[in-house]
Parts: sequence; structure tokens; C-alpha cells
Amino acid sequence: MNPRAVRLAAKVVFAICMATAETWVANAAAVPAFELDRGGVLNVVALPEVLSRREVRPHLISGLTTSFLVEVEARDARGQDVHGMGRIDVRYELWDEVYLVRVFGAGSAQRLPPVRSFEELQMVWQRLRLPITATGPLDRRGGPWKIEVTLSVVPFSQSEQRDAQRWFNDSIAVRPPTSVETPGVRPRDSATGGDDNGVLDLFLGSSIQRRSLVHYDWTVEFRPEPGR
Amino acid sequence: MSWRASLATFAVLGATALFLFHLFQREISGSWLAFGVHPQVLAELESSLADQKRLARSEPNRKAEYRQRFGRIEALLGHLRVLSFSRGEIARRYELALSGLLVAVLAAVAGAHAWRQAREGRRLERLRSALGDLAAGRTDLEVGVAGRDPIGRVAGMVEEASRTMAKDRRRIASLENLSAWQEAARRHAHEMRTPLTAARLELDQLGRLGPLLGAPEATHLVASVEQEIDRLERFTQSFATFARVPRPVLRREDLGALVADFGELFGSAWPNLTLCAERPVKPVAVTVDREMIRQVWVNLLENTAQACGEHGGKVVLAAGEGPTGPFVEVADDGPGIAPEVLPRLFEPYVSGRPGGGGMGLGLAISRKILLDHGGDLELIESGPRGARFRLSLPRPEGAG
Repeated sequence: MNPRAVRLAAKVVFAICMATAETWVANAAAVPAFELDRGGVLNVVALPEVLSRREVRPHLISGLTTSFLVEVEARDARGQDVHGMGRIDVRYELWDEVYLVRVFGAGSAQRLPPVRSFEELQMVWQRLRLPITATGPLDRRGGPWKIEVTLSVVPFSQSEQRDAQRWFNDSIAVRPPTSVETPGVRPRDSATGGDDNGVLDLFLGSSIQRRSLVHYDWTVEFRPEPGR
Repeated sequence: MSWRASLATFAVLGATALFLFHLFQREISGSWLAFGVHPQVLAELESSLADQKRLARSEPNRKAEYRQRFGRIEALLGHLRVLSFSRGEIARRYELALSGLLVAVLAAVAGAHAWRQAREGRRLERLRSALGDLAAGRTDLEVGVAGRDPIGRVAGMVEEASRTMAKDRRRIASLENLSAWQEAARRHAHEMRTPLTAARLELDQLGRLGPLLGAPEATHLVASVEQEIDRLERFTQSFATFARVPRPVLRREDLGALVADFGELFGSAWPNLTLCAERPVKPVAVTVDREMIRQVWVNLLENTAQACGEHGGKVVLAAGEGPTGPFVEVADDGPGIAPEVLPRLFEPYVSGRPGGGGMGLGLAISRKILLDHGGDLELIESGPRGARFRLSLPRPEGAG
């Protein structure tokens, strides 16, 4: 066999192994932690640090709102389960060069003070306490709970989606050229049927939808401490 | 075109359309979106954002203006970034919309083609059936296939041919019928002429002997019998005339001039009739025997004069040219023709005169004359406000 081909194959196998190992280590090393407060609400207290990952970090400084959606499904030993969701919005304010962070948990919304740097943002992330769901139906004495967590990263918010849809529809609408536009008067919105291509524009415009760029899944065993 | 051929044609057309569509989408439609979210565009916008900030720092008094411009650029950059995230989905939907449109157009074309094929099939089937009927000898066909396309034109020709066949058959039947009547009339005339001649000779001798026998009433009886023999001779002469209707000697004439001449010559021939001759605007050429045609008009006007009696009436002779050829209409404002006579109007020895007057040969002779010309004589309408006859004449050879 050609020695060069052997070396090349070995290099490829090594690269694949390294990449797999890196991912495995990253996933295995960092898992979310949970706390049960006195009201029986399950909180995520230590989300794994995903901000610096290369599939996430560039979006944080795009000027758009990056949403981190946390979905949790907790099941006790008897098979009883509860579901909950939380959201963390991070937007980099390009003019002031600060990160604006808002946290939406179970029955709460919180705007955090502006964050000046990425490092500070990482610290804020690690200190986050995100209330997810009440755990009333679950049995705290019967054994550990199995909690499945999914963290999805969505690159823009709903309001940014609506703005972009409107802008897109206005941009692709075919309008007769006008020499002078009346100041202060906006052209008609094509999406509302203002021209002949309204249906097509609406069809195309509605293709601008929020989708998660990436998502991470963890399964954690959580032993609730009775009385806490 | 068979359905297999149609299917193959549509398959080729569809494949071509899809290929062109794909080419168009790939080379033209997709590129504008790629251009909009080109990394260089985004980089330039980011650079512009940084510029606005630098400008605001260097010119604090215009900070609000730069901040506003920064906001606009930031919004545009945000929109483009959102667009770049959804680029694949937008392109997919765009392709979907265009594909749907293409499929709809192809389906509409295929549907229209199938409908047209089915319609053409039905029309061809009707035409085939009509041609079969025509071949079987049926006449006066209505194919029911209209249109200016070849099928419609052929259907029109089939209908025209069937109408011509029907007309010719009626004409032949009429001629055969009249020929039989003519033969009978000739025999009657021949058979009656000899005994009538003998009877007249005997009667002449009886007339000469009457005074010698001293029977004055015999002279009166002889005169009475002579009158009856005269009447029988007139009948015999009529039979002979009907039996010997001559063949027309055709010459090219202007129908308008014929009608006008007739009006001038015969305008006062019937004291109780007012004759009005209307000639067409343009000359209408016909090939007729002038005298025989006049004879027809005379016969018709004679009947009208008899029917109108002392009340009098008006007769209009109007010449013209219609789609089927030249014609002359003879319309009067008399009492019309008795309904019971209508079915046998043109048969010999049928008379509508009150009291059975006349031999009833005038219309039969007239129709024979027209049929010998290649035309026809028809009653168009009859009622209390008058009757209208139409003399149809063939177009002269070489005329359009």
C-alpha cells in the first residue's frame, strides 16, 4: 500500500477522533445544574457555557437579539413528569457596545444591567438562575429525577423577524417608478395586497422564520432534597 | 393527434419548461438574493457603522445626526442578517411558487389541449356520421358542427351538398310527375281531337238540315251543342299546349331589364291590377328564355287578376340576387290561396278559382318552365294579406 495514502488516512482518522473526543468531552464536562427553591420551583443554576462556542459567538455581536431557549422535562421515579421553558435574550448594542440581557423564566421577566464585555457576559451567564417550572406533581422522596434539558440558540427575535418581513415585502414589491415621493408618506405595504404580487410577496415574506441555529441536549439526574 | 403522441409532446414540452425554469432559477432568480446578502455588502455596512461612531466622536455637535444614520444602517444590516439566515427557505419557497405556477400553466395547457382534442373528436365523429348518412342517401342533413376551421368548413359543405341533393331530388320528382301528366294530356288531346272533329262535322250537317226538317228548336239545340264542342276543343287545346311545353331557348339576359320591360309592356294588361316592377341596384345576369319567363309572369298575374276580381289589387315584381342565385319575387295583396289547395298547388288540373273555373294548368306549366331552366317556382307565403311566389334561377355559367 502506498505509504503516503496510509499517512493521509491515519491523519483523517486522527482528526475525526479528536473532533469527536472534543465534542464528547465538552458535552460530558459541562451539564446544567438545578436547584429546587422553597416554593417547589425548579431552577437552572449553571447553564453550560455555550457562548464562546464558534457556532454561537459570532451571532452574539450581530446586533440582533440572540435567544437561548431552555426546555426542560423532569420525570420522577414513578414516571410522573413536568415540562417547563425559559428564555435568555442577549443583544449586543452596537452603538454603546454593551450586551443587553433579559431573562424570562416561569412567571418572571428580568432585565439585567448592561454588560460591558464578553468575559463579563460569560460570568453573568454562569451566575444565571433561571426558574423553569413548578414541580408540585413530582415525588421528591421516591428517588432521583431524570431531567432532560434542551438549549436552542435562535439568531433573532420575533419583533426583528416581523421588521425583516415587512422590509423584505416592501423591497420586493414591484411599484411603478415615481419621480417625487410625498414626504412623510410611506409606500403602500405590498403584503396587505397593495399590488398585484401581494400573495407571492406574502408567501415569500413569511418564509423569514425563526429557526434554531444549534441546540444542545443534556440528560441530568437530580436528587431533590426534601424540605428545601 | 393520438393521445400517445400528445402525451409524448407534453412530456417533451414539460421537460423543456422545467429545464428552462431550473436554469432561470439557478442563474438569474437565485443570484439577486445572493447579491443582497453578500458578505462584502455586510462588511461594508459594518464598516459604515464604525464610521458613524467615529464621526460622532469627532463631531460631537452632530452626534444626533450620526446616531440616527447609525440606526438606519444598523436596521438595514439587521434585516440583511435575518435575510441571510432565511435565505435557503426563501429560495425554496420562491422555487416552490414558480414551480407551482409552472405546473398550473402546464396543467392548464394540457387540460385545454385535452378538451380541444375531445371536442375535435366529437366533431369528427359527427362529421363521419353525417358523411355516412349522405352516402346512404339521406338529405337535408344538419351536421351540427359550426366553425371556420377545416372541420367546420367540411361540415358546411356536407350540409350544402345534402341540401342540393334534396333540391335536385324534388326537382327530378316534379319533372317526372309533370312528364307523366304531360303524356296523359297529350293522349287525352289526341284521343279527343278525332271524335270532336267528327262530332263537329256531323253537327254542321245537322245544322244545315235543321231548317229543311222544319224543326226550328233543332237550330237552337245545335247551337248549344256547338258551344259545348267549342269548350271541349279549348280544353283539348290546353291539354295539347301543356303536353307540348317547348324546351327553353336560353340567352344571357339582365334580369332587372327583363322585369322592367315586363312592367312597361304589361302594366295595363290587367285593368284591376296595379303592377310595380322593381329592378335590382346592380345588373343581375341570367340565362333564360325571355318569352317563357314572361309566360310565367303572365300566368301568375292572370291568377292574381282572377283572385282579386273587381276589388283590384297590387302586384310587385322584385328582382334580386341572393346567396342561392338570382330570383324574382311576385307578391300581391289579394286574398291568398285557399289552404286546401296549397299541398297540390303546382299539380296539373288543380285550380283555386271559385266554381272550379280554369283548367288548373297555369302554375303547372309555369313550374315546368322554371324547372326546365334549372330553377324552381315556389310559394313563399300565402295569407289574407296576399301571396308571394319566388322564381329561382340558376347563375349563368362563369358567373360567381
